Amino acid sequence: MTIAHEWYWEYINVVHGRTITPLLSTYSAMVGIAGAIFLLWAWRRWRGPDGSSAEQRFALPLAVALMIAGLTNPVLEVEQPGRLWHTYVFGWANAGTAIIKFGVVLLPLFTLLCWWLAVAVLAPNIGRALEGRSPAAQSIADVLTLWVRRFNPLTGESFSRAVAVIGVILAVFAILYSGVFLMTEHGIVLWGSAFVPAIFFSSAIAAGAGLLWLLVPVGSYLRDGRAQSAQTGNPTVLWIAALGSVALWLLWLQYAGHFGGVELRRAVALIDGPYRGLAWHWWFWLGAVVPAVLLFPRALRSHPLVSAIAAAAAVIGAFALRYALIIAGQAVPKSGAGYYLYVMPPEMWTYLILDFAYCIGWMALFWWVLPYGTGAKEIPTTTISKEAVSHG
Amino acid sequence: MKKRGRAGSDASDKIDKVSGHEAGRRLFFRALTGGAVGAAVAASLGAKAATAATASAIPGMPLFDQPRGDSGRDYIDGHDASVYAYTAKDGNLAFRGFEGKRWAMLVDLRKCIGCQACTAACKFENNVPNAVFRTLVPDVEIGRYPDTRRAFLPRLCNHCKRPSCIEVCPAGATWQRRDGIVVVDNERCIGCGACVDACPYDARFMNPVTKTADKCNFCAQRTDQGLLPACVETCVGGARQFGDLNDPNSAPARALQQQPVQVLKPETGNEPRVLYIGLPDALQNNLPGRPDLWSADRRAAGEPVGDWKVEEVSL
Repeated sequence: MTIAHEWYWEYINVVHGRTITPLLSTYSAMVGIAGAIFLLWAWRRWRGPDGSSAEQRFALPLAVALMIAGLTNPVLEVEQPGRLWHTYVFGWANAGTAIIKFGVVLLPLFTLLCWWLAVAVLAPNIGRALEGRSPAAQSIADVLTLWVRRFNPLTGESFSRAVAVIGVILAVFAILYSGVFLMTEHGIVLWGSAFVPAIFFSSAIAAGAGLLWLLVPVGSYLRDGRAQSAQTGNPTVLWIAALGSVALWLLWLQYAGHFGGVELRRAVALIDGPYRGLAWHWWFWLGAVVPAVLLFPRALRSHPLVSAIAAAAAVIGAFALRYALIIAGQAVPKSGAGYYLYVMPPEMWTYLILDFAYCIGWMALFWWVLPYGTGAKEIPTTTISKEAVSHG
Repeated sequence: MKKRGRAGSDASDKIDKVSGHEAGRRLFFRALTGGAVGAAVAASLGAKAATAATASAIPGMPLFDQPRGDSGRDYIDGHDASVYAYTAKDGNLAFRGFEGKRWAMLVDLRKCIGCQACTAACKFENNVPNAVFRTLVPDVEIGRYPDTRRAFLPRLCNHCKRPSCIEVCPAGATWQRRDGIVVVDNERCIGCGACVDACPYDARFMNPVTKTADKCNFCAQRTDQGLLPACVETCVGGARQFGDLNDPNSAPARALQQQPVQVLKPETGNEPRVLYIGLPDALQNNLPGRPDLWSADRRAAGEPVGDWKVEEVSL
């Protein structure tokens, strides 16, 4: 019990002597993948509304779960997160050029928007599920579903397009945010490059497509009774993004080798040295090359099992990439103080497992609570696309 | 119903004449307002009297150690009057500190990523005005072209064992507590700036709001309550650690036993209690910045002020 208590306090990070940990990479990956899932969802919604498809119904709750679990990490890491709001009370100038002043507002806003659209897709089901309930229960449900029963953002074409555009902007911000955040930490030379947000973007897109491919059938099976697959375009998106990641990674290392200063070369040497397994094996080969090669033949892209293997590899790679960059980067600060090699303490595995369990818990809760009905037919309330309306 | 302003107007007077109900209600609100004001005045007087009672002198105790009852009044912009404003209730702890402790901070430069989270946390915790800092991580360029590189160094008051800032204070407004924290009483400070010039570490500055000397106090309002300084608590990389040098298990004490630890400008004899790991030679005796009185006010007036450049430093 004492140990559990100590672990709890360690988890909320009152004080510690360790450097930035896998918790930051977990946060970065989760928020990035959530943004990618939203982009894929909005893109398909824009091209033609098919509210009955499993991906349209199960994708955004997954994104919300990822956002909540992801954002919990920095909130706990910062300690006294109320300080993050002081900028808005004591003056914008206090935040200087810190990107965090945008993240504090925009990331929760993005989470709310994801949730709004997630329940908007299910609005008719929610309406039916609440029929005959007590007024108090209906009021509570209305608050939790952001009054989507009374006003559905997906019903009006122009409004739904505006919401989609705002959502896309926020999603791109969410994907890039952690990369730009690292980029602006001027003490770490490895992070101070525009390659970081760029490669975070490509890996997040690959992992987002992969996670949809892996989990949408699971949700569909649990709630519909039959495993509907995600959109068949996901393996293609995954392949293109993985290929982009391979190109960016190699380009970056070339750049660092030719133009980097002493600290950058030292950090790259760590990627080739003590962190080789993480950076090359888990990220580059497994997370980027394997999906790119496996899905290169068009025939294999339509093969569910091959696509699933590639998807799992891309998701693992997205986490490994961030972990490798974070620990290899902070090992060589610009202060000239020398190396500080991070070795993950065993208890960190506990935190990571808790982190993933937390995310899965939110996802399971959403999938369990939301009224999916028995499948497929009751949704289309929305018309983002005129073409789809005319066909529909 | 018409909405009426606070002050009586012609329109409202007309209503009063026409409607007896309106006039009656107006009188009622007047009476209510008067009662509320009276109650507030009475409560204020009572509180003042109670404060005076708690602040009464303790016979035999030196003036310096006498408890204060009414400290903590706020200046404009909500800046607290003194560091011990909210710990006066603990008797003289805020004045004298803990017996037997020797607070120190350990800054591991290998872990610092230069994110300035400590800077922001300190400003928010202590309501430090714009353009001045109790702690800062200045980013500087050292060396001469073409052999240059950038470095950074977390800076704060060193809470020296032999602080040179205390002896020069003509008003007795700064002193060292028993636990080693050097504090400033903003209510006693006359703003002469002697301590700012005397500090070899450029840790003090003139607060542009209070017009008195200001500096890091290891967040005494927090450490007295068993909390960590805000910068330590917020440090995401774990570069800042805080503890009691008399406790062999504290982080600073362990660091002293286990690895090389440096201090800034050791030749001054001040014996700082902010310890560094990995401090580059180029910065140890060539601190970025230099004392500059009223820098915030001068900067606001567009006058030149000291920058953070390091001069004549060899790698």
